[in-house]
Amino acid sequence: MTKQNKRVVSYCIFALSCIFVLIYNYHKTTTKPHVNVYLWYNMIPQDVFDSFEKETGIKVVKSFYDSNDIMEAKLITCNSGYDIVFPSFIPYAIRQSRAGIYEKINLQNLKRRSNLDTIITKKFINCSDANTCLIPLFYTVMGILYNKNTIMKIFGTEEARYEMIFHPENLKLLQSHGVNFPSEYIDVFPQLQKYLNMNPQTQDRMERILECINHINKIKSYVKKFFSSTIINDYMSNEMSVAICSSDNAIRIMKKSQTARFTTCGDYGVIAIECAAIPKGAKNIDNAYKFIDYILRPDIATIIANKCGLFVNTIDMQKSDFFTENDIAKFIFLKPSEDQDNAIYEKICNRLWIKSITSKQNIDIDKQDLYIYR
Amino acid sequence: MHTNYINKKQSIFAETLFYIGFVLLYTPIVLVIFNAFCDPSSCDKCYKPSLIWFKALFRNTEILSAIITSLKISTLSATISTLIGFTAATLSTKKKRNKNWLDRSFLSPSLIPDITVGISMLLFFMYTHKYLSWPKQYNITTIVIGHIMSTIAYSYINIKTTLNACDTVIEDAAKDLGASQMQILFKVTLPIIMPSILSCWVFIFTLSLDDLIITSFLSGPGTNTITTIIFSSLRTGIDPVINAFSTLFIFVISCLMIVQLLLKNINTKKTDNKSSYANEQ
Repeated sequence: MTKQNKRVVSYCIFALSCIFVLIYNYHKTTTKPHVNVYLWYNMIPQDVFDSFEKETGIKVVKSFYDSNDIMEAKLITCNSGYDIVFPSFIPYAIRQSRAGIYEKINLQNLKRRSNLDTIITKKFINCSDANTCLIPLFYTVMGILYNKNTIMKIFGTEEARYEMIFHPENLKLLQSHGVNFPSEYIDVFPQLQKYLNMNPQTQDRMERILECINHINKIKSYVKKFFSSTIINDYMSNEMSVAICSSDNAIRIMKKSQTARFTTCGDYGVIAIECAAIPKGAKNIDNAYKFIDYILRPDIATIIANKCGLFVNTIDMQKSDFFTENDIAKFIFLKPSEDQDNAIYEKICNRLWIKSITSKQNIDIDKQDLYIYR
Repeated sequence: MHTNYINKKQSIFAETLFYIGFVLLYTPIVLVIFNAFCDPSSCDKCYKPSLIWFKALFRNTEILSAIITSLKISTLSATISTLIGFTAATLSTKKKRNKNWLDRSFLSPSLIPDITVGISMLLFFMYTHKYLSWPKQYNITTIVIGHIMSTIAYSYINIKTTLNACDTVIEDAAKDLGASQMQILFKVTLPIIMPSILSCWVFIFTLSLDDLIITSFLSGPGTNTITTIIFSSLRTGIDPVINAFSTLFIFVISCLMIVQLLLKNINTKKTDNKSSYANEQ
C-alpha cells in the first residue's frame, strides 16, 4: 500500500471511529439515579423538575410526545424505556390498561396517598376496572371560554351559556366573531347531550349519537374551526371569541387577556382526567413513585396549577379558588363503558363525528344505516 | 430564445403567476419573522420591535437542548447517508452488472411515505430487541438509522447524477499514468464531485432537521428534538419563543441553501471546464 493510500485509509478510519464514538456515547446510560418521564410539553413547569432534582438527587429525564396515539404505539412495543407516562383517561389510558401494558400500582409506595382521597378518585375507583394500574393524577374541566365584551354586545349579559353556542340562531349571531369547537367528539357530546335533555337511563346510546350528530349538522356551518390546538393564538389574535375548551388552556389565556372569561355553566362542566401510569418493564419504579409523590405535595400542586393551569387531584386543590369539591361533585364524569360493544361504539362515534365535521353537506343517518360505519 | 414562442399576453400571465407563487411562498415566512421581533405589549395599531423572545429562547434550557439534539442527529444522518450514497453511486457507475439492481433498491425507499418508514422501523426495532436484545431502548441511534433509511435515496440520486456527468477520459488518463483504483477515486473523482457531495450533505441535513414523523416513532427517553417540542407545545398553544427559533432556523437554512447553491455552481463550472478540455484534446 502506498503512502497516499495509507493516509486515505487512516482518514476514513478516523472519520468512522468519530461517528461510532458519537453513537456509543448515547448508548451509555447514566449511572446517576434518574427517572424517565414521558409527558406533554408544558404540562409540568421546569421549576418542579429542578426542585425535585435538588431535593431527592434523582435526575428527571423528560421526553415529550405530540399525540396520545404515538405514545400508545411506542408503549405497545414494550421497550420504550419510560418510567412514568401521563395518558388521557378516556379513551386512551383505560384502553391501554385493559391491554395490560402498565404495571400494577401499589399505593403503599406513595407517602402522600391520603392527599389523593378526593371525590374524583372515588368516582374513578367506582367506574373503572383499570384503577389498579392508573392514578388519576391531573384533571381539567371542559367549559366555555369567551370574550366578555362580545357576549355583552350580542346577548346583553356577561355570563356565557351553552344555549348561546348550541342553538343555531344564537350561534349565527356569534359566527362573525369566531367560534371554535374541539376536534374530538368526547369533548362536545357530553355537554350537548345535557343541553338536548337526553336521558341515558331511558334512551339507547345509538339514538343519542344520532341526535347529537344531527344537531352538529345544524350548527357546524357557523363554527369557524373544529380544532383546539391553536386556541391561545386564535384568541390573542382576535380570530376567535368563543370556544369550548379545557380549563388549563382557559387559565393560560386569562393570564394574557383581561377580556377572557371561563365558565362551566353550572353543572355542564365535564371532568377530563390525565392519569399517571408506570409502563411494564420500567426500570426505575421506585423513583417513579417518588416523583408522583412529590407532585402530590400541596405547594407543588399549586405551582403546577398556577403556571400550567393543570389541577393536581388533591384534597388541598379542591379547597382552592379554582373549583371546590361541591362544584366537582356536580360536574359530568365520563365513565368508560364496560361492555364488549364499547370499542364498536367508540369507533362509530368517531367516524360519524369526523364525517360530520369534515363534509360540507349534511349527512342524514338513520339508525338502520349505522351498520355501514361498523 | 424562449421568449420567441411566448407572446406578450402569455408573458404577463406567466409573470403574474410567478409573483403570486412567490408571495404565497414567502408571506408566511415573513410573518413568522415579524412576530419573532414583536414586543408582547404591542397592539393591533402599534408595533414595537423587541428581542425579548430571542432572550427567552436562550434562557429556555429544554428548547436549547432539543436544538442541540436535532443538530447532532442531522449531522450524523447526513454524514452516514452521504457516505453510503456515495459508495452505492460509485458501485453503480463503475460496475454495469449492478446498475439496475442498485438503482431500484436505492430509489424505492424514496417513494415510501415517512409514516410507513416510521412504523416499519418501530416494528423492526421491536423484533431486534426481542431476538438480539438491541436496542436496549430507543435513543439517538434509532432515530439516526430511521433518518438514514429515508434519506439515502436522495444522496444516491444526487451523487450518481454528478458521477454520470463526469467524463471518464480523465479517470482513464490517470489509469494510464499508473494510478491505482484508490488513487483515482481519492485524487481524481472525489475532488471533481466534492461540491456535489457537500450540497447533498446540506440537503439531507435540512431534511433530517425538520423530520417529525420518523423522529416521533423512534425517539426514546431524553431524546427530544425541536420538531417534537413544537408539535407537543401545540396542545397548549404555540409559545412565541418558537417564532424566535423559527427565525433563527430560517436564517441558518437560508445560509446553508446559499452555500449549497454556490457549491453547485462551482461544480457545474468544474464539470464544464473538464468536458471542454477533454473535447479540445
